[in-house]
Amino acid sequence: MTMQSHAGSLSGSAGQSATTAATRSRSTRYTSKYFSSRAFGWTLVALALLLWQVVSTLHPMPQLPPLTEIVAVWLDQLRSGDLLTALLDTLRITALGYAFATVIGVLLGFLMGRVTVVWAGAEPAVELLRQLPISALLPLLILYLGIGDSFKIAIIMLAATFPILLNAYAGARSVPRTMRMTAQTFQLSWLQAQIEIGLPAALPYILVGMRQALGVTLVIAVVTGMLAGNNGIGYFVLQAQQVLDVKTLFAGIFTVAAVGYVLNAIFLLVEHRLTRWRLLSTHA
Amino acid sequence: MMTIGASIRVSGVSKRYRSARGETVTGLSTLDLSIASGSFVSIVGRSGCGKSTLLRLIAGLETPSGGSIAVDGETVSRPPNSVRYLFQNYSESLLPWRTVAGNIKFGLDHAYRRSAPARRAELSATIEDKLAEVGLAGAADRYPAELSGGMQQRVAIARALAAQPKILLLDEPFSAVDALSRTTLQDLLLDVWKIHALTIVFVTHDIDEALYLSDRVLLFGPNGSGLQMDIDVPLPRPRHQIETRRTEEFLRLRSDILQRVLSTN
Repeated sequence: MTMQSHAGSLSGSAGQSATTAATRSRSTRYTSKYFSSRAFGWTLVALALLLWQVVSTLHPMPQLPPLTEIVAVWLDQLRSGDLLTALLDTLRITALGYAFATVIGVLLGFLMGRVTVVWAGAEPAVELLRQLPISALLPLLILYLGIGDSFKIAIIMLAATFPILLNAYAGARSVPRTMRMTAQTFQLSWLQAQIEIGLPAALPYILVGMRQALGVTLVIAVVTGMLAGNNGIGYFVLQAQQVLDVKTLFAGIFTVAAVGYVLNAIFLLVEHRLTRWRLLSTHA
Repeated sequence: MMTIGASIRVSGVSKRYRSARGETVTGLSTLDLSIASGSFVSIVGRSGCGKSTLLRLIAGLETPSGGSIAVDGETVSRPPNSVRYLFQNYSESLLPWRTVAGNIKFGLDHAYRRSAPARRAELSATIEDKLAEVGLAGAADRYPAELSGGMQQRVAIARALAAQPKILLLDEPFSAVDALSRTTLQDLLLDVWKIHALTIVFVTHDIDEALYLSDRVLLFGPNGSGLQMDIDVPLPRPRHQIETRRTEEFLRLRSDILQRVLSTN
């Protein structure tokens, strides 16, 4: 397979070099294992946070409050429900936009890859639209849809559709000829062939597109919240900035980072489960 | 005489392709052929002789430029239901996202004579039977990528048999398999041919393999020129990998064919 399913996630260590175990002491081996695992990276993150705490305690400054104080505010905000309400609002918008994008992207992309007339009819429009920066469409969409949920969902959908569509197209094109002929010789109808062979074969590509889109959607969801300035985590952060409440501002940022990390982790788990068969190596 | 009980009849079939440069290329020039029901026929010849083209035409995967093909008396216009096809690149023919059992179920789901939907326990018993027949008992839950090439081709054979075909077409099925597995796969194929009373058309470039397996070997001339030799193989069955291959008859047929191949260089 030419496509690395974990590309873009930075998951999986880069170089698990062959160890000459016999000559190394146990402690050296342990050290080498540590430095080639993610535990090393997490230690660096922890060290950076510690440095932050030490510096901000020794030299108090309003731009960089101590971590402990930020965490206290964060917990407060979570308990009061303001942050949670804003977060849930953003997540709801994100989920809706993402779901629409997935349906449209998979259907259109896959059909473009498998049905010539769909490709011929849709390719020019898709190529034109996907070159347009989302930012250029913002004023127009606000004019049409206002600054409510429908505007935000539309923007998220627009941003997320193209990575999914392009990957679904590539996936549909990747179905090997032998596999298509297998469908023919086993008497599958066109629809059966797409459902039993085309879509499963394209699934790894579709999932890569969906993961790329997931990253985009959260960013767009936060930005639209700021832009529309009425609700969501983007608005929460913006509000904190306007009243110079740096601790709350950081609480908002930390929330977005944590949510993004968790969403991506869940996605990787599901992706791994669905495409386990691709990671098996030939042996026996 | 051959036409009585003929399973496959090829009448005046030719196939021309248009190359990328727009030239017409002969895939197969006019060919007449009758393959008896229940026989094991091999087609040998150099690359580009049109042997695989003929197989795809019989399978209904391509349409002839001229003439017609009949399978079981019916003219082929789409893949005939009673025919299953084994590809050389099994790894792209098996469904890699399905387990071995899932691949067999695919064969059962798309069978020539579909049986009534089985209950779960029945189904897994049927699948286990099919796997045992090709020597893969206990491999039901593994994925194709976990198996060796020879084992994957066994899964492909079991999947084809699960569809209960009358005719099996094989396009160089063992050429990507290591030499030791190849001999066991050959004997496995002879067993299933006999047990299921199949008609088999087997494309290979290995003359020894063709002689060992077949009742009849067809030698195709170079560049789609068509049938060059039609050889009856009267070697007794059951055949034996060592005994059969060192009989005088085997060696004589082998050198006859080889001589002809070399003389038309």
